Amino acid sequence: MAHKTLFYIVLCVGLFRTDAIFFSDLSFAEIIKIYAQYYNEATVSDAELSETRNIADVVQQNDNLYKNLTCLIENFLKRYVPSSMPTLAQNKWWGEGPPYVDTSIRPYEIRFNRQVIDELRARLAYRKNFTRNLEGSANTYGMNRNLLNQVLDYWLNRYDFETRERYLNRFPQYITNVQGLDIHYIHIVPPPGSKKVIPLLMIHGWPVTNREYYAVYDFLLEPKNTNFVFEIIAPSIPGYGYSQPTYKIGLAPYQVGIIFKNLMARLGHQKFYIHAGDVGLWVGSHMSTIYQEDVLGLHTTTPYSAMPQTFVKIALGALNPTSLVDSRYVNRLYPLTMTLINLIESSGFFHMHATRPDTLGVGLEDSPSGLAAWLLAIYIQAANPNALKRDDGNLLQAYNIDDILDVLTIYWDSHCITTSLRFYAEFTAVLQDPTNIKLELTPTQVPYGALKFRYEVLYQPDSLLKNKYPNLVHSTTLDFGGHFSSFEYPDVIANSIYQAVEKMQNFYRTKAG
Amino acid sequence: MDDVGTIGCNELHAASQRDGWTRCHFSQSVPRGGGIAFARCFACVLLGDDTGSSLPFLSEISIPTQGAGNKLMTPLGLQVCMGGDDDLHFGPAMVNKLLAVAVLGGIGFVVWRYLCPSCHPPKPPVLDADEWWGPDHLKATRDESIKPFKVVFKPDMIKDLKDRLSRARKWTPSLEGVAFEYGFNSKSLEKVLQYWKDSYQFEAREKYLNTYPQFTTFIQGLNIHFIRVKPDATQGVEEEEEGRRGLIGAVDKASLIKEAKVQKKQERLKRIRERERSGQIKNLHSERTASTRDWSSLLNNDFLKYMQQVVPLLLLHGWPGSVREFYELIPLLTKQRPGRNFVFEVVVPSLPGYGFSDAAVRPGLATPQIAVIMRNLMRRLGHKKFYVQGGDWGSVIVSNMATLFPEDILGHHTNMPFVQHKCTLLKTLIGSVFPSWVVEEKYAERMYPLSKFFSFLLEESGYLHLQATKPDTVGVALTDSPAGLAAYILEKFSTWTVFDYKHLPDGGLTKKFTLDQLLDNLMIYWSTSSITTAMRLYSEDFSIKKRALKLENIPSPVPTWVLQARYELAFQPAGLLKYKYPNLINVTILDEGGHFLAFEMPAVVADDVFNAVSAFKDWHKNKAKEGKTEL
Repeated sequence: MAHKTLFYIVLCVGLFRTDAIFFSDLSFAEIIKIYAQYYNEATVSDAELSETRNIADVVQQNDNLYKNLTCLIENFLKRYVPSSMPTLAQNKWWGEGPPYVDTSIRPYEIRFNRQVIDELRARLAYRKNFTRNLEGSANTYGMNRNLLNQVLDYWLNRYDFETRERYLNRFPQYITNVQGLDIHYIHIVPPPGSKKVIPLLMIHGWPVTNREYYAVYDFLLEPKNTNFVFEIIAPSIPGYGYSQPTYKIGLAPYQVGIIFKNLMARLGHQKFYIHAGDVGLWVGSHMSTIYQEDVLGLHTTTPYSAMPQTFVKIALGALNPTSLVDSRYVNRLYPLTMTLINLIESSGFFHMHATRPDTLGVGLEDSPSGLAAWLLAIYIQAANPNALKRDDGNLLQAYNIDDILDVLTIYWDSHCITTSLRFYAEFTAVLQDPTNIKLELTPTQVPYGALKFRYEVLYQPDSLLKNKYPNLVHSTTLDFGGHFSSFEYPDVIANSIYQAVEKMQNFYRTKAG
Repeated sequence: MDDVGTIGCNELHAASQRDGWTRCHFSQSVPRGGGIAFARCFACVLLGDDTGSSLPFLSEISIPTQGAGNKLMTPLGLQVCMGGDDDLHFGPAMVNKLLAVAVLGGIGFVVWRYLCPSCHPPKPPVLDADEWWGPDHLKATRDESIKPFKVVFKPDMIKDLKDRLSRARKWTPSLEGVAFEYGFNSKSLEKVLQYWKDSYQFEAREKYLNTYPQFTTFIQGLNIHFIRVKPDATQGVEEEEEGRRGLIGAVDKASLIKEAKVQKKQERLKRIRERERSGQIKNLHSERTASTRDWSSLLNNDFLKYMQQVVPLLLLHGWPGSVREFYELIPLLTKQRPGRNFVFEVVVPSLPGYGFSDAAVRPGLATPQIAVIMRNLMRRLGHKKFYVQGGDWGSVIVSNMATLFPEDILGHHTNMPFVQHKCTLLKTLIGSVFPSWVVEEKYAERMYPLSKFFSFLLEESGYLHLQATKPDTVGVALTDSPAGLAAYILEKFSTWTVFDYKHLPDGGLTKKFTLDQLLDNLMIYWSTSSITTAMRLYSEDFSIKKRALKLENIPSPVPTWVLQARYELAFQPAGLLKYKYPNLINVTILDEGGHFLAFEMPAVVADDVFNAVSAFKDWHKNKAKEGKTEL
């Protein structure tokens, strides 16, 4: 849900910023002091002041209004980009009780708890008669009752828990304790051969677990005309699926990044590539910002930059959209009002997760129907927002329903919905933990590969992505697919990962040469 | 150098006169804040600001002396002194801020001059008074009857509820050291659910919910549920009859007397004619005397009630409340008070889609449309003119009623005023730079800084964002899980009662309410499965269609009285409210109380409503004297 990240950041950070500058009762010095706490920058340095004075020169060089404004503001905004990386504790303890060290790696198989499954079925069977949808509202007011009942009936009567369990155990899984939390991960080592083995960390999103990439693994394991093969490590984020949740405040994406870095180190991989999507993108992006030496490359879906100059350029771009975006893709970003309205329309869930996850969690923990509605509505929206106007939401056409129900069953069996929602709250707790923003605002030199599907609510052209990822080496824009394309188009994702990694290796060769 | 003392600024140390300048020394100084301080100083002088709240950042300013003890009056002579360590520093940062003020001012002026509709107040739109919200096949139905209603907790429903509560899973533990900051605390939730399952007396509470006479009536395709309590009516039978006569609804004494006279005259004529026919008529004079006696006896009995003035009052609840919010308030309003020559007949409807009222079957039933339904309800009860009171959505609806039907609403009392008139918003923005221009200093912290208010709103409005966009999705879980519903609804009764209650492990839920009170309200949602339809009101009211009506920009001439609790979600001083309510009579500002004010502090609300209606009556009297209205 990275596009919602953007929205939230606009609201939360942007609002706070502009408000702090323009409308607050704070003096500028006080604002600077507050930012100093954020960015460890006590004052505006002389160098920055002189930089601002140079704007006059810049203006003369470009006579294009748009470019002028952008440069001007970009220069001004540079002061908000932190110059130094924060020092982060690499071994923070997230478990219960006093810290201990347990580096054992235990094989793991998913075994649904029979009692839980029986109870799940009982709850599904005795579900209430849900409220009728308004006439003609389809899925626009939220989950359509008939569609929901259709899926719930399938879950109750036709979803085969045992077969699916076997399917889920197709890949070797392990659990190991990192920083006090038992992390569940899939680890696929390629058969020995002449090709170079490249470690790839794959980070899933919400509402999924490492189940998200099952089909992608298959395509990644297929032999290709490349001189390398992948060794896949796909952990579940703590609090998702069978990875243990923490009961301590502050397990933000970058903290998960630290955990995953430690996990990779335990598996013998100091340097590795990352693929990520949705909330996993926060983790992957922050990892590649913190460990710019160790992360060899980052490939993601829903690419975005939350740098201040990106927002300014997007806003200014409204004056002349084609100056910013290729005319083929203009309608993915402009008119800006429509984009914003769509973001607001679709981000209610994000707002709730970020502010009151525990309240919402109660109902979703207690009612499998509620959980299903909550997740299905996200899947419908993600595949194609226009399908909301249809009674069937295009849900069963876009996805294999077993995939979705696997996720639902894992969420129910592992009782992880509330802890998974809290991840949003930790990500947006910017006042409590400014490191999140600081990392969002720090560019990374790690080579980057972007995969842009058609119905991602957020679209940014490469020029904007370069604000955050100057070494953008691979970018593909597609005319199909939605936010959870790992279910819809796993082959496309796998191919894109291969291409990106090849380009990244070329990038390193060129750099070395 | 002789000191002339302070000029009313908190931060001001002293002012001294020298070389024909008054020199002000301030305790606070911030080197980089000079630009804005200058602007503030300027504004301060322009506005003759006594509080000095807009002058905190300058260390020293000088103004030409105009005599001893003078105020800052002459902007032209203002001079900023620079010197010592407190040099003013016009860096780009400050230029930026100055620029911001200038731009803001410029935009403000343009908007003020050209866009502010106060010169051409728009006329309220006319809404379809018979718009049909029920199923199409009922359109032929013309049922205007008023049916008695009783709350029934069916044994099946209770059993199912208890089953669901006892099946509850072990809740995900709250994070260490977290109370309600991430939402409903799991330990506290267990206790509440335990109480609901084992200690809540369903039968006794059902009986309590039936304390007052309740009815339903069919309006625009929907069965609307309402409580109706008359001052001396303990029985709920003959009300309808009286209501139809439309007498109680009329508060106008003169017209009542006139009507009674006409009635009496007709009766007398009738009697005379009868007697003529039977040959009994002998002495017309004595007959006339008798008739006069009859009339005075009427005065003594029924008419005294009219003299006492039973005034109709519509009370409207909001989300996540119900009619239950008013159970403690109703007896206080319907009981006669010493020193008051009026008492209330209250009508307390469930909003459409809430509790025992039907929900619309098609999109579009937003607050203006509910206002139409409520007016139709009051008309059916015989009240052509009446007073209104509301909180939460209720306040929005009564405000819409006052805007759409200014002729019918005699007075408007609200405990959640939130005006979104263009000018109000603009002034609020400008006030972030010059707060003292907008709000009294002691209440400034309820509004400013805006960043604090916005981040508060952002944190609190997740539910709103959700309900305004996808109510049906979250509705599934809340319809299926009583625990989920309890957490979702009761969280609001914690945080919105006192904001800081979210830091208490039990959410302070029972500090102002009893669990029985809270669960009564919850039962109204659970037993009717109405949470989804209730939440849809957010979607409707934030819809493009509703916003296109722009009711927020149409001032309402109805006399308005505002009650503002300390912990209401938003605070607006009278100066901001007046754009929408030009006849704002009074603002009562409390230092305590939360969002569910009628529920939490019924006595305070009752007193305030009596005061308000008393003032509304005086206002109408004065108006009548001016000959502008019939009253």
